[in-house]
Amino acid sequence: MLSTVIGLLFQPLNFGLMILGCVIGIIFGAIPGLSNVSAIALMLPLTFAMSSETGIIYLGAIFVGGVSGGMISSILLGVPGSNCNIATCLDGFPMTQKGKATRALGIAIISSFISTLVSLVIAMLFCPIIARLALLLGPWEFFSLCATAIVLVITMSKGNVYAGLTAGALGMLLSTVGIAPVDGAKRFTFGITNLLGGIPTLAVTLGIFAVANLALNYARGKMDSPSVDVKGLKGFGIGLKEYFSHWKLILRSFMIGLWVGFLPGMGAGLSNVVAYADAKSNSKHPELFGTGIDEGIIAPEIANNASVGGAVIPTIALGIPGDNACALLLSGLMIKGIDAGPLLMTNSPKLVYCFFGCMILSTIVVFALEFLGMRIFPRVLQVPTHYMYAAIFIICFIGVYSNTYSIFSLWLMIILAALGFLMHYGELPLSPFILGFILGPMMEDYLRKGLTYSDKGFLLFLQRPISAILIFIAVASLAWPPIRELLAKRRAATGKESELDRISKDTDKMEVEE
Amino acid sequence: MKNFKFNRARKFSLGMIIFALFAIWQTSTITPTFTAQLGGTDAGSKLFPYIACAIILVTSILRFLTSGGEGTVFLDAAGWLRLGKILGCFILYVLGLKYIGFIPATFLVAMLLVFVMKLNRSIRWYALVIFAAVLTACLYFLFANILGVVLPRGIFF
Repeated sequence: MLSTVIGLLFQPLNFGLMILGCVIGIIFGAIPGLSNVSAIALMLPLTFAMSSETGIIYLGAIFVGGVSGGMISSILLGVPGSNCNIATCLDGFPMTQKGKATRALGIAIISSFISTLVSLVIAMLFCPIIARLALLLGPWEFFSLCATAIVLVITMSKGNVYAGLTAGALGMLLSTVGIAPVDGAKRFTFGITNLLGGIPTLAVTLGIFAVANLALNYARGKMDSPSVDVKGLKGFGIGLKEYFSHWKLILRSFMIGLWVGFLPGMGAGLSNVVAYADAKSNSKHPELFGTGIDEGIIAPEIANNASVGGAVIPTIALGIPGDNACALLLSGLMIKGIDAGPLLMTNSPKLVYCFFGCMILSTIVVFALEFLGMRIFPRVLQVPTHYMYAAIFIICFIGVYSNTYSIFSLWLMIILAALGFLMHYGELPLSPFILGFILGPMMEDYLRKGLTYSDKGFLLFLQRPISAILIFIAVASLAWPPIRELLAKRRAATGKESELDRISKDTDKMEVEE
Repeated sequence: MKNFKFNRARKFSLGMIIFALFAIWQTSTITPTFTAQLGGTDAGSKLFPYIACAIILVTSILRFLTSGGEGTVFLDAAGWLRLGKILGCFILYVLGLKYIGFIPATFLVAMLLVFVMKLNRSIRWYALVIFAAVLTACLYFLFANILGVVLPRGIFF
């Protein structure tokens, strides 16, 4: 079997298409508004003329390249290439602004490589076993997981937990616009037909994150191009010893990414923010997050790439796609007449291992391409900001239009950009808002299912062990920041202030002055 | 009461309280469909929006009560003017896409955006034209030719 798979992967056509797929994936991942999902969707028709193995190799390579490529625009431009890289912006872009773009890229490239590779090996080895575990979870656990994810992200809100909760709930409320699930009632549509389908996710992501942030930079007169440190760069800009000194964080973020990616419907879009929140809440210096530190890049990049392996597990083992990209991969298989699910590994083992082999090989190809490109990518920053911003704004508009074919969605994006300004004005953090918006529909669905399946109402959310543990984590992480602050105040009052407390105060002062 | 400062966080929280009350009223007007009227244990389509509104209301009240201090300046007058200009460009672009189509609208707005955002830098007119033309051509090639997107045609295109 092994020799057959290796032989297939290294056939000139297959190997060539794999490299092409990786390049396409990286490019689509890096362009805001496009992602590996749009790349797979666009390339799917091309695979009709290919054999099953060649087609799946091509699509698998695009998938891997797309998840990894998203970090490029997140780090260099502060614009997430896709929702897999939202949290990468939070420290990646500040590091770029400090003139350390290549170091940020190096950290992200190493993280992507290690995480994707290990998660795929785990997926290949444990696919059937892990898939069985998912069947034990019901809507109660899924609802609690979503709620915990939002709360964990809120705990990374700078300063005010109330502001984080407001932002998360605002995102949830915005996600209810349109036709309600289950009964189909119209909600907050104000008689506008275009709102019946809800607010497009891309309009929200680009409006709130990209357009609002860049427009605000311009309004504040922050139009200076950051310097680039390509000269004298050796290796990845960070030593492996230094990188692996964060091994605990790497391990934790990896487990988060693998697990979240494995849960159907979630994937890298969620795992990167949860891992970032976890990294911050467990850090000895949480106040430095958001200023451009290594941990703030390692955590989301390890997690979102670990989700690649995680998402593949339910896709292959159960026929349930772990995320949108996997859903398209599944449809690619179905077009070829192959039914994914428990019998796939028995009926078509060659195809399954070819898929895993291609993804592992693609990870190595993507690593090599990004290593070569990391000296070239930062040169984009040398383009004068007014030209770059103009191009990004227009790409955002056309990206949203191409996603919806509706001028109305462009008006929505402008309104959402204005909402982004308001949120900056009100000092509401953006991450809980986005997460609330993305997870809102799932949460509502799980909540209604959970309440419908039993007469016990909300009680069952606390009676089921995994759900109860998740809710406990959410409550504890909400309660911990004020307790920590109280303890720090007591220490300061008694003259036992730690170095950490002093650093925290200094950075708070710097933020206020800024 | 003497120390009460109506700072930015409080102004915003007050706005959010009013918004939450409006959203609660709007949620109460959601009309259940016939399937919901059949009964059963489904919580209905109002529950989730009510939960979100309640969180916004409660947290905004708490934030209003607990946000002390002077607060910082968000934008100066020139900053607000710049924000207005850039929003104006966005609105012009969407109108342009709708009425004159992708190519002329993108070409014109690309130049306008660069001109507006140049701040104190000097730009040669032909650099603007070349940039706008190259950007429009590249985007047209990528979206229309490669991705097969039917771009807005307006009335000229």
